[in-house]
Amino acid sequence: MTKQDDNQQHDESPDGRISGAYRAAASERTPPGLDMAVLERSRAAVAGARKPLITRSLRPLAFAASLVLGVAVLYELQPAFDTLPATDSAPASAGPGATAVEDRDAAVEAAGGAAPSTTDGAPSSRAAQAERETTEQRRELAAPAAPAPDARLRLQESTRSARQSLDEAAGTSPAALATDREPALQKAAEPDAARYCEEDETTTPERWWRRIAALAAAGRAEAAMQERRRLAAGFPAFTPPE
Amino acid sequence: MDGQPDDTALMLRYGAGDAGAFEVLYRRHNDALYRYLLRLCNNRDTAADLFQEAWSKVIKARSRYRPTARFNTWLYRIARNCFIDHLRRNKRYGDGPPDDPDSRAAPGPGPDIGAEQARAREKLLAILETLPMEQRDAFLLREEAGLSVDDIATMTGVGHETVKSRLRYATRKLRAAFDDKTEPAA
Repeated sequence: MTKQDDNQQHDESPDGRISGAYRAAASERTPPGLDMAVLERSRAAVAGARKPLITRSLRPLAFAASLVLGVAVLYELQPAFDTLPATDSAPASAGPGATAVEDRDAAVEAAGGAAPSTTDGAPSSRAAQAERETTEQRRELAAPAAPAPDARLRLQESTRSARQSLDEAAGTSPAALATDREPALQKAAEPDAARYCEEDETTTPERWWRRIAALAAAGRAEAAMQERRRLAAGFPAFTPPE
Repeated sequence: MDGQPDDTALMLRYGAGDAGAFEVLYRRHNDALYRYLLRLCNNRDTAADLFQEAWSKVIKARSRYRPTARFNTWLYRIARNCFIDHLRRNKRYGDGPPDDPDSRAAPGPGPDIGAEQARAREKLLAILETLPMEQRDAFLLREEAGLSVDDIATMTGVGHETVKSRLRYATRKLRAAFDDKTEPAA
C-alpha cells in the first residue's frame, strides 16, 4: 500500500468536513499520570532486562565461591569431628552422683585399668580389683549418707538416759520395769534408728564385719583396718569371728 | 518524517535497549491511541486501563518486534485486541455506564472556542457514541490512527468494500446529525 493509494482512499472518504469537525472536537489528551506510568514501565523493562545479564555472568563466580567456602569449612571442621566421642550414652536423667561415677570410671580407664574382656576369658586380677573398687565407689555415691558412729552412740546414750528418767519418774526398779517397758522403748527408738541406720551395713556388728571382710578380700587392708577400729568402738562387746 | 527517525526504527532501537527511543515513539501516538480507546469504550477508567495494557504489550513484545507492517497498524491492532478482550470479559455485566458528557474532554473548552463550536462538538461526539461498534471502530481507526481502508480491512478481518461501506454509513449518520444540529432550528 503506497502513500498515493492511502491519499486516494482518504479522498474517497465521505466527508472531509466531518473529519475536520471530529478532529476539532476530540481534543482529549492522555492524563499525565498515565504517561508517567507507561514511560516508567518502559524504562523499568529495559533496566530489568539488563540485570539478568549481569547476574548470569556472575553465576559461575558465585557457584565457585560457594564451593570453595564449603570445602574450607569442612576442612576446618574435620579435626573436631575426629575428636568427638563415638557414642555419648549418658542418660539425660542421670544425677550428679552418676556423673561423678562415670568420671571416676573414665579416670580408672585412663589410669590403665583395662575393662574386663568378655571374649578373652577371665579378667586379670588387677582388672577385677579395679572393677570391685569402682562398684564400691558407685554404691557409696548412690546410697544415702550413713550416720556416723558418733551419731549412733549418741542415739544409744539418749535411749539409755530416756529409759533411766522414765524409771526414776515411775519409782520402780529398772529390773522390774525392764521386761514391761523394753518393747515400748525399743519401739519408740526404732524409728529413729531405722531413720539413721536404714540400709546401712553397720547396723549390726555381723553385717559390719562382713563388709570389713569384703574390703580385706578386695585388698583394701587399710580401709578394712580402719573399719575394724570403728566397729570395735561402736560395738565393744562384739567378738569378731576367726 | 522530516529527518526524524520513523516509528519502526524507534521501536527497533527500543528493542535494543534504548529507552529514549520509546519515549519519542510514545509521544507520537499516546494521545491518538487514548482517544481511540476512549471513543470505543466511552469510559475514562476503562480507556486508561486498556491504554496501559496496550502499551504494556508493546513493551513486552519489544524484542520480538519485526517491521513487517507499519508500527501504527501494529499498535492499533494490539489496542483493538485489548478492547475486544475487555468486551468479552465484561459481556455478562455490560460495558458500564458511559461517562458524563460534560466531563468527556480532559481540558475544558478554551475561551476562544465559541459556544456554537462547543455545542457542535458535543453533538458530534454524542452521535458517535450511538453508532454501531463496527462503524465507530472503522471511523476511529481512520480518524485517529490514520489507517487506510486496506489497513482497516486487514485489521478487522473484513473486506475492503465492507470497510468502505462502514465508513460511508458512519459518516452519513454523523453528517446528518451534525448538519441538523448546526443548522438553525427550523
